Amino acid sequence: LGAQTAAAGVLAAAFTSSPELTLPALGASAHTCPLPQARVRSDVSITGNMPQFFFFQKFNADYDLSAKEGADSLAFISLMDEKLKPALIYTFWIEPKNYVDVTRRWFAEHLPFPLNFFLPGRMLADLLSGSPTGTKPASPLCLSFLLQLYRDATECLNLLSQRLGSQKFFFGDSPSSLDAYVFGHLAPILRCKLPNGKLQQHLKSLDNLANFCSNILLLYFPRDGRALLPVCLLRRLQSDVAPPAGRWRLRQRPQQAAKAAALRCGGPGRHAELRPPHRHRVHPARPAGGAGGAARPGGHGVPRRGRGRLRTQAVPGLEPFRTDRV
Amino acid sequence: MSLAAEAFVSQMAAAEPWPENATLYQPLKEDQILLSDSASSLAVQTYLRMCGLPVQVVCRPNAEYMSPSGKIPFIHVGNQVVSELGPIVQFSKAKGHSLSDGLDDVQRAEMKAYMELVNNMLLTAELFIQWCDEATVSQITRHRYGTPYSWPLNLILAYQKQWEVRRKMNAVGWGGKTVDQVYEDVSQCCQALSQRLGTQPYFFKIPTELDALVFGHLFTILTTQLTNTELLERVRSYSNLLSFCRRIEQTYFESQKAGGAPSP
Repeated sequence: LGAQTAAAGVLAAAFTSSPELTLPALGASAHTCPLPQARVRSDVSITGNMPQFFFFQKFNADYDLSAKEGADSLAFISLMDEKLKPALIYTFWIEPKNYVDVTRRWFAEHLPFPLNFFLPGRMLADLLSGSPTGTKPASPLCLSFLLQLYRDATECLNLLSQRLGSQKFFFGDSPSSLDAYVFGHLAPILRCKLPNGKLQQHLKSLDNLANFCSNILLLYFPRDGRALLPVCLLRRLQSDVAPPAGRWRLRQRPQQAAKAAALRCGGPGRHAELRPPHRHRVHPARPAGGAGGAARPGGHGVPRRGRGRLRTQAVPGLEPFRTDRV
Repeated sequence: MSLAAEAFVSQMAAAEPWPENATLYQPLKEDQILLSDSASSLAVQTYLRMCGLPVQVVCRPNAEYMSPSGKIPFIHVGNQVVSELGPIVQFSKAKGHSLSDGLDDVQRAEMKAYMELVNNMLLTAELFIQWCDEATVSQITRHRYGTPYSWPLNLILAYQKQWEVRRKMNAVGWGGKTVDQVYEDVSQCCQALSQRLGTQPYFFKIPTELDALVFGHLFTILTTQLTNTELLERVRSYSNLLSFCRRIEQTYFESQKAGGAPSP
C-alpha cells in the first residue's frame, strides 16, 4: 500500500509543480477505495493506478529509457513484487511487535473515532486474505517460513544493490519509474523506527541503496532545502512521552504533539491517504514539496484530525515544524 | 528449510558426484500433464541438458503428491529429492555444475530479475488460463487433471485444485482480471523478453538457466493446443523469440537421439 503511494508520490513530485496536488483522506471510505488516492486541482481525483494517469497526462518517467532498459524495469519490478513485498507486509503488519507498536498505533491515532478501534484490524484482515503470506497453509509464522521470507528479501535487496552499483539512479542520471518503485518500497523500511528491524539493518548495511533513498528524498521531498536528518529518530529520542490519554483533546501539548509528530514520521508513509475529510482540514494544501508526502520521514506536516490545531515546539537543532502550515 | 539444514544438505550434495540414474518425475505426458507443469518440467530438462547432466524422465500419475513442495517437476538424485527450477539450480551448483558463474554481479541480478518476471507473468498467466478461464477448464483442464482417477475422485480433485489456484490468483491480484487482460500481460512479458534478447543468440553471452526457463515456457505455449489460438498468436508475433526456441531445440534436443523430441 504505502509503497505504491510513495512511488506515486515520487513520480508526482518529480513531474507536477501544481500546488494543489494533495493526498487527502476520504475518511471511512478510504479503506474501501483502491489506494493510493490523490486529488489534483480539487476537481480531479485519481485512484488506483497513478503512473497510468500521469502517462495519459503526457508525463512519462521512462521516456529516455531504451527498450532493453524498459524490459529491465519490468523484470526488477517483478522481482520486488515476488521477493520483497511479502517481507514488507510481514514486517509492518504481521510481526507482532511492529504491528502493535508502530502500524496499529499510528492508524489508531490518526483515524477519527470510532473508526480507530476496528479499521486497523480490518485492514490487517484484508491484507492477510489478499497477500501471498495469507495463502500459506497451516502455520504461516513457523520459523522456516520466516527464514525463507527474510532470505528472499535480503537476496532481493542484494540484487538491487548489485544492479544499482555506484550509479545515482538505476538507469543513468535521471530517474525512472523503477527508481520510484524501488524508493517506494525501500523508504518505509529505512526510515521507520521499528522495534524489530532485521530487514532495516540489512538495508542500512547496503550503502548504495541507503544513499539512493536519501538522494531521492533530498531531491524530490525537500524541506526548505535543508538536508534531511533522520528526524523521526531524533524526535523520538527527545520526546519519549506517553501517548495522549484521551484521543479527543482539543489542544495538544507540545510534547504530545512532538510525540505525535514522531509517530507520524516514524509511521509508515502509506497512511498519508487516510486523513480526515476535507472539512476537518484547518490549513490549505501544501505545495508540491509536500505532494509526495506519502513517504516523507519528517512528518507529513498535515496531520489533521478534527481535534484542533497542533502546536509543535521547535526542537532545537532540527528542522522545526512550520507553524504557518500547521 | 532452515539455514543449518540447508547447509547440511548442500554439504551432502557436494559430497557425491551426479549419478547416472537421476530421475525426473512429472505427470503422465499424453493424458494428464497440464500446460504450466509441462512448461516447468521442460525448463528443468533443458537446464539439465545444458549442464550436461543425464536425467531420465519418468511419468507418474501421482507426481504432484510425491513432490516435496507439491510442485512439478522434481528430481530424485542419489538419496535426495529436489523440486522446482530454483532449488534444482542451487542443488546442481552444490555439485559443481553451474551455468551462471561466468556472469558478473549486474548480469546475475538481471538474470534473477528476468527469471522472476517469467515466473510472475508467464507462469501465472498459464495457471490462470488453464484454471480460471471457464472454457478451458471445462473442456480441457478438468478432464485432463482427473484422468488417472475414477469417478467421483477425478471431479473432486479437479475442483479442489481449481479452488486452490483461484485463491492463489486472488492473492496475487489476478482474481479480477479477464482473459484478455491476461493475454495482454503475456504480450507485455514477451515484449520485454524480446527486447532483452535483441539479436543475441542467448540472453547473456552463454546459455544460462534463464534461457532454459524461457525456452520451457515459450516452447510449451507454442506447441500446446488450447481452446483458442490467441496465446499462440501472441507469442508467435515475436520472431526473435521463435528463432531462439528453435535454436535451443536444435542444439539440445534434436542432436541427442536418446532424448528425442522435447515432450510438451
